[in-house]
Amino acid sequence: MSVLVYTENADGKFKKSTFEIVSYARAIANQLGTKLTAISIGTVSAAELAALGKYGAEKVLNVSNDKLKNFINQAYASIIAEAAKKENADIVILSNSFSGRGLAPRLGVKLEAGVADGAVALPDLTDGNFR
Amino acid sequence: MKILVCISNVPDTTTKITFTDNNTQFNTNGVQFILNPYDEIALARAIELTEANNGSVTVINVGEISTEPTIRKALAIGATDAVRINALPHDAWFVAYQIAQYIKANPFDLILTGRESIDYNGSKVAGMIAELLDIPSVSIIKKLDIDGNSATVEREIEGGKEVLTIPLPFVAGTAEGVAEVKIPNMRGIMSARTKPLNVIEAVSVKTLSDVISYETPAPRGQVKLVPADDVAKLVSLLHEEARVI
Repeated sequence: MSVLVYTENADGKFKKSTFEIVSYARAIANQLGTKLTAISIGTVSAAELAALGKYGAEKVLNVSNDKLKNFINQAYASIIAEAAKKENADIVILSNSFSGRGLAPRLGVKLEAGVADGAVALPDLTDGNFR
Repeated sequence: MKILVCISNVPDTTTKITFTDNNTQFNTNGVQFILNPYDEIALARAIELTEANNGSVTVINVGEISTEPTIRKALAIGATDAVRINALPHDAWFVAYQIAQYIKANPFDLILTGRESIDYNGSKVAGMIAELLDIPSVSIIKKLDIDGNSATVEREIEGGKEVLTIPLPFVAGTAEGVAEVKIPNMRGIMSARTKPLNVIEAVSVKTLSDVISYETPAPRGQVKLVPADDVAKLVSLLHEEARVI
């Protein structure tokens, strides 16, 4: 069991919204008493990736490949789904950015998981569901 | 070229939203339903793209019989034929699953939806259909052109746009800018009555999400104006009322 957070970068740098989403995911991982893994796709420096640790990611998966430098919905969704399965993630968190909105529905189908779009608060996880 | 446009029956934009059954159902009493405005854009573009090459535009909706007037409107605007999958649209996953099953039996060159429906604003159906069919998707496009077996689309990104080339078939959610919506003319309205509207039954599928309850947003509070030199009053309001310091 774990929480996976997709950390979107813009030209190799994380924006404030990325750190916010890691903090949000960290809070959820704390509620579940589990670990948080971040996944970054594209060309991001080690120093930049290390910053994710400061916001609560215990592990950072870095997928870098020249062909993945620019966002490709299908490819990125496949990668994140693979990571979710490998990390045994119960919850995958994405930001409500344009890319996030493209990825979330595909991920939901790949992982046979419900998609809660536009969340504006932390969930209630007490009964094994994401409310 | 065969294009499928997925349409949604949504409450009119001026609807006063209320809930019933202990806030578990949207109250449809007295509500006017319309064709989702973003779907109208998708439909208009599909008609433009097929006019030139004798193609066809099918509209598909997941809904009960009450959605048929909206489906007829889409036919009046210029769709060739329509399909209604007879079920309540439980959630985006349910809708996408039904539509994907239909597409597996009836392939299309291009599948369009609006970028989101104005009731639930999920932007999910397009991506879900594409994943079920293992084809590409772009959730929010602002421009769409077809050239043979591939398309050029403009995707909105933070602070700009991105131009992509995608092979057919794929799924896209249209936003403003893709096309001007078409007003049905008299001929369209007359022909809509006799254009085919096939009703098919839904297939069963696992439920992945449920709505537990709805709530209307809290009414906006009154603004309290504090004179610029009365710092003591400001501090006391922030401490005692807003409780932020």
